[in-house]
Amino acid sequence: MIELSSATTSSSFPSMGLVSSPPRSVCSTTNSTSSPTVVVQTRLHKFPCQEIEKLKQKYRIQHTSCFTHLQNLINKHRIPKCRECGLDEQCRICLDCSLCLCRHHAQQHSRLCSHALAIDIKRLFVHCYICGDVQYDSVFERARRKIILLQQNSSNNSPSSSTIGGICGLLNLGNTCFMNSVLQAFVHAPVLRDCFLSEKQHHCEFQDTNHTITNCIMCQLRQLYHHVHEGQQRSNEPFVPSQLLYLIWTHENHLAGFEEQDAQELLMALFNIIHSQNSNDDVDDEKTCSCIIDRFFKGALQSEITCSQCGSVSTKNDLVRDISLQLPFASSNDECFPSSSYSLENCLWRFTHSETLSNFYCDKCQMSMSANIKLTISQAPIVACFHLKRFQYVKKSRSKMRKKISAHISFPDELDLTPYMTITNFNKDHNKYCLFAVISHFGSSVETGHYMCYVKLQLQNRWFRCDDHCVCEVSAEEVFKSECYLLFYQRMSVEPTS
Amino acid sequence: MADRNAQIRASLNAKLIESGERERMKQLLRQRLMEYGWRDQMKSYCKDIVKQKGLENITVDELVQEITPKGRALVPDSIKKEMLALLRQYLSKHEEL
Repeated sequence: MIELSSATTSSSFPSMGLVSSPPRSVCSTTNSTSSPTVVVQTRLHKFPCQEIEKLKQKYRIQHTSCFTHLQNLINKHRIPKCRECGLDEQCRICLDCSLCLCRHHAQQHSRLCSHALAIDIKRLFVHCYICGDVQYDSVFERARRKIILLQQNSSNNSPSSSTIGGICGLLNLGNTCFMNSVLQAFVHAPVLRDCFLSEKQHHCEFQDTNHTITNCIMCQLRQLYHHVHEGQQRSNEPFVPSQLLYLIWTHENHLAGFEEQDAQELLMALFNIIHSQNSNDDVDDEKTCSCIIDRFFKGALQSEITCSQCGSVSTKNDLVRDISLQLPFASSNDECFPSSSYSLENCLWRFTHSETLSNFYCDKCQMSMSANIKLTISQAPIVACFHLKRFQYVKKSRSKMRKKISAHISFPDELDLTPYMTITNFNKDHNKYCLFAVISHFGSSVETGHYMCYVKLQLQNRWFRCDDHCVCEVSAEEVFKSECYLLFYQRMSVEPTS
Repeated sequence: MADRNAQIRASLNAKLIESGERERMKQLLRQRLMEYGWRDQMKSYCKDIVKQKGLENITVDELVQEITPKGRALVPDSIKKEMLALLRQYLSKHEEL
């Protein structure tokens, strides 16, 4: 090891608690050391840096990548400002607690909290306060280069600020990219345009003891819509969805907090809130609810169970607002598809493929039998949301992280749902759908990853990537190559909504 | 008089940052310095210092401290003139300052 041969110390930093031998001075060229007990140097040079090694080990244990960690930290501080003094030059981000501080306060902070590592926000080099110097590490260097490359690409692609209307960025309020992506997809559903832009659709009758606009989700969404469509005049300032975030937190407690969450859970939460605030009072009749969720997103799945013994069929219809699909290779039973061709159609095929249930209690036979179960779509919604079940809870680890199945699943621009529908639905033209938004996930788990939403501007047939407050046009190729998580399709022939 | 100057400087700086002009000027400056070979000069100066002091005995901060005075002195006059001209142009366009 390098340390031993050049007579540097073993790991006896004061902060590590070992006091076996005092630090020695280092003279690399002559390889001589000063006498062991006398010299105390304030500067220590170690290669490799212990703190960096510890951090890399942490990445391995948590199954995260250095790139994702650094990228998330940078995304948190798009407008860098020192927390203590507001200075915006030469800021650094602490790798332990993600605080953004100027050089002076960063040094203070590292002493006070024993956080050794920080990255410079502009140049992305890693500074170790124990070593007292910038450290080079190949893993960090690779991550750094990747981030800089991405930054250059996005700045090359960004449209000149005043020419894009109908789209705008959303500020990240602290790991809220999961919410931002869902909002972007929602806002770009073509069928919802009329609802939010015309005046007559929503009369705010939201009765609450302290009725303010902030409690009403439809009013909040309308605010977002207006900002999106007037963005041109404001040179595309991003919208700050803090009130929406607060609304969601108060209604769905399990999503509160500044950790990264699952975007699909948020989508469902959003639907729940809209429905509960806008459903009609007739409790028993779900069919007549006129809230936008029930009008546009509600569909139905039919499950048909055929007893293998007596042949009797029991049918059940369940209302759904999205379709959650297992990935075709998730269980060991699926050898049907070669690993290179995973597609949405494969997932849908598996979803509607009949399976055998081993323990079905058949009423006719009065005993547990094996039966055939087949799921089909009995009512296809106007807006079809497909959820690819990529995240799984890792049972063994203590950290309860949701690990991700990272495989590329291809998906089409136009989708025909006819093969997956219940046979009685003969109107074939009614089942053709067109893609308008894709939420893709980057990273290896929910907690350490990042969501971005790709939306298609309908009138112009162009794709845009919405990465929190950064919106830029991208090629369709990039969209279809990404790791999709939620897919949003709208039916192509829609009856005019009155 | 000095106060008035300081005030102008502060508001000019703020305006430059707000409009993104400062960032653009910085980019231009970097490009020019590279074109004139200033970066390569500084690079070899850094190498000399590191060779002289020994790799193990120097930190990035110290290096920066060492090269800063020479770096400032070595900036070609034409670049300084160009930057000043840009600033003057900006000032004249935004007369409300």
